[in-house]
Amino acid sequence: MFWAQKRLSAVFLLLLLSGNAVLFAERGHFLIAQAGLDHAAQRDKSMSPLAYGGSGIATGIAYEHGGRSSMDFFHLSFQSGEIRNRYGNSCSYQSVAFRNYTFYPKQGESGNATVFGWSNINAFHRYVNAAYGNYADRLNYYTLFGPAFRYALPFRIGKLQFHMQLPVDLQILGFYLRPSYISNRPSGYLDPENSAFMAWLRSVDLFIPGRDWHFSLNPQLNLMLGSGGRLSLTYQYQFVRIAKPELFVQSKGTWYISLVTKL
Amino acid sequence: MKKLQILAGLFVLLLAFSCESLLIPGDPAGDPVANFEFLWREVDSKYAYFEFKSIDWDSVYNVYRPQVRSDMSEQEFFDLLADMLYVLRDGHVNLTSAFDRSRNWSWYLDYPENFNGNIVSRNYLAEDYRISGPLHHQVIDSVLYVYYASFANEISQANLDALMDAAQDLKGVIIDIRSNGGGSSANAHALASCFTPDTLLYGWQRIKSGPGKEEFSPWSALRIYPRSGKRFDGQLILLCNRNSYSAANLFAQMMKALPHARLVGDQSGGGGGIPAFGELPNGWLYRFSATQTITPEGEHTEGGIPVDMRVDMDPMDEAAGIDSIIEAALQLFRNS
Repeated sequence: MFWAQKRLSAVFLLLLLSGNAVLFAERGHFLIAQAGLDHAAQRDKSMSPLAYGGSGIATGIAYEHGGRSSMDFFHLSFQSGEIRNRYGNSCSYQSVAFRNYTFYPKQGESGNATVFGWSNINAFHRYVNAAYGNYADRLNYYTLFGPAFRYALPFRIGKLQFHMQLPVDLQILGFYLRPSYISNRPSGYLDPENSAFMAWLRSVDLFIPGRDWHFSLNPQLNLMLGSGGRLSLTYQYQFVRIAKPELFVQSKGTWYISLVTKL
Repeated sequence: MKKLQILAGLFVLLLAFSCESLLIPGDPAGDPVANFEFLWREVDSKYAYFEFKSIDWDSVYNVYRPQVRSDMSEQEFFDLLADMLYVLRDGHVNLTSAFDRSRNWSWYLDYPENFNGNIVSRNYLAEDYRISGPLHHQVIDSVLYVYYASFANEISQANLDALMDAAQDLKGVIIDIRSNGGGSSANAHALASCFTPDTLLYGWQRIKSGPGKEEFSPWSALRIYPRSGKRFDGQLILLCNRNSYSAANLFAQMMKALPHARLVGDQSGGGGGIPAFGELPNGWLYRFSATQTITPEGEHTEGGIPVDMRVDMDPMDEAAGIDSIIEAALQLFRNS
C-alpha cells in the first residue's frame, strides 16, 4: 500500500510539474459516483487506551452545481472496514457522512482560482469491538459547520486536459452525540422519564473549537472527458477530535475513483 | 509555476505517506506500573458494587500497589492483578491474557452442587425426550420437564411454539436451569414471555454514569412482555442451584415475579450486574459489573434470588439415581 502510494505520488508530481495552466469553467450540473478504499486510525478512550488502525471500502455519490455566483457540492458517503490494535484485537466499523460545500467565486472568475465559502458535515460513525461481550459498540454522531476554501488549478498535458483542486475546511460550530459513560446510549437516553426530544437535548454536547477539532482536506485530480464529464482521483482526509465524555480522536483518509457525469 | 510546485508538493506529501496514523498519539506505556494504575482506576471509577459489598478500593490499592515491580514477569504480574480483582467477589470479573483467565467462582464452589447431569440425562430425560433447539423436554407424570443448559444457546420462536404445544393440557411445567451459567438476557426474556398473559414488572436496573461511587443513571424498569404466540398459564416450577448465574439469575428474578411460579432447589448464584469490557495498555482484556439490578421490592440480585422451597440433593437419593430436587417439584404438582 505504501509503495503504491509513493509510485502514484511520483506520477502526480510529474504530471503537475510538467503541466500548463488552461482555462477551466465548471458551469453546469454534475452527478458523481465514487468507489474507493478507506484507511482509518483512531483512539476512543471510552473503549480502549489503545489506538486502532485498519482499512475498508468506501462508496459515495455526489451532486455538484457550478453557477455564476456559487458552486455547490453535496456528498453522501459510506465506509465499512476493520481496524485493529497492535495486539490483534479488532473492531468492525461503518461510517455514513453527508457533507456539503458552497463556494462563492468572484464575479467573472471561473474555476481556476481560490474561492471561499462554507461547509457542513453530518456524520455517523459506529464501531463494534469483537472481544467485548457487552457494551461492545460505540456510535458517534456530529453536525458541524465551518469555513472552507478551495484552490483549483486547470492544466494540460499534451492533448489531455486536467483540473486539480484542493478543498479544505475547518469546522468551528456544531454539536455531537457520544456514548454515555459505559453504555453506547447517549446520557439523555438513560433516563426513562425523558421524552425522545428531551433525551436528545440532554445528550448533545456543543462542539467547542480548540477543545474539539475537525478539519478535512480533499485533494482531487480530474481528467476532463470529451463528454463534459470527468474521471477523478480523490484523497479525502479528515481529522476529528472530540473531548467529551472521554477523548475520541480519529484520523481517516479515503481514496476515491470517481466518474463525474454532466447532467 | 511556483504555486503549482507548492500545490504539487502538498499533494505529494498527502499521497506519499499514510498519514492517518501519524496524527494519533502513540499507545500508553505497557509496563506493570502503568497497567496496574490503569486497571485500578478503571475499576475505581466504573465498578458498580463497591457500596453494596462494602469494599474499600483505596485500601486495596494500598495493599497491591507496593507489590508491583517493573521487573515482574508477565505471569507474576497477571497473578497479582488477579488477586486484586478477586477481592471484588464477583463472577462477572475476569482478567484475560493469552495464557490465563482470572476468576472468582466462590459464589458456587463454596456451596453444594445440587445437580447431577448424568441422573437428569439418564433417568429423567431418558431416551425419548424432545429436543426443541436448546430446550430438552420430557413429560413426567403429566408434567413437562424442561432442561435448559445455557442461556447462551439461542431459543427461536419455533422452539417456543414446540414447547408450548408439548405443555398444553399438562398439570404444569418444570424448568430446570441448574448449573446454567448464563448467556443472553434476550433468551431469558423470550422464554419468560411464554408464561405471562400480561406485561409484568420484575425489577429495576441502572448503569454507572460517571466516576463517583454512587454515580448512576436513574433506575429503568425491567419488564416481561407476553409473547403473541402460544403461552402456558398453568403452574410453573423453576429449579435453581448456586451455579445458576447471570442471565439464569435474571430468569430466576423473572420467574419470582410471576404469581403462578415457584422456585425450588438452592438460591441462584447471582451476577446481577452486566459486565462492561475493556483492555489494558498491554492488551489484556478485563471485565467487571457496571450495572446494578434490583427486584421490584428493592433487593439487590447480585447475591442471587432466594428460592420459595429450599431442597438439597440427598446423597442417598443421588447414589440411587434419584434427583431429590426434581422429585420435590413433582411432589408439589401431585399435592396441588
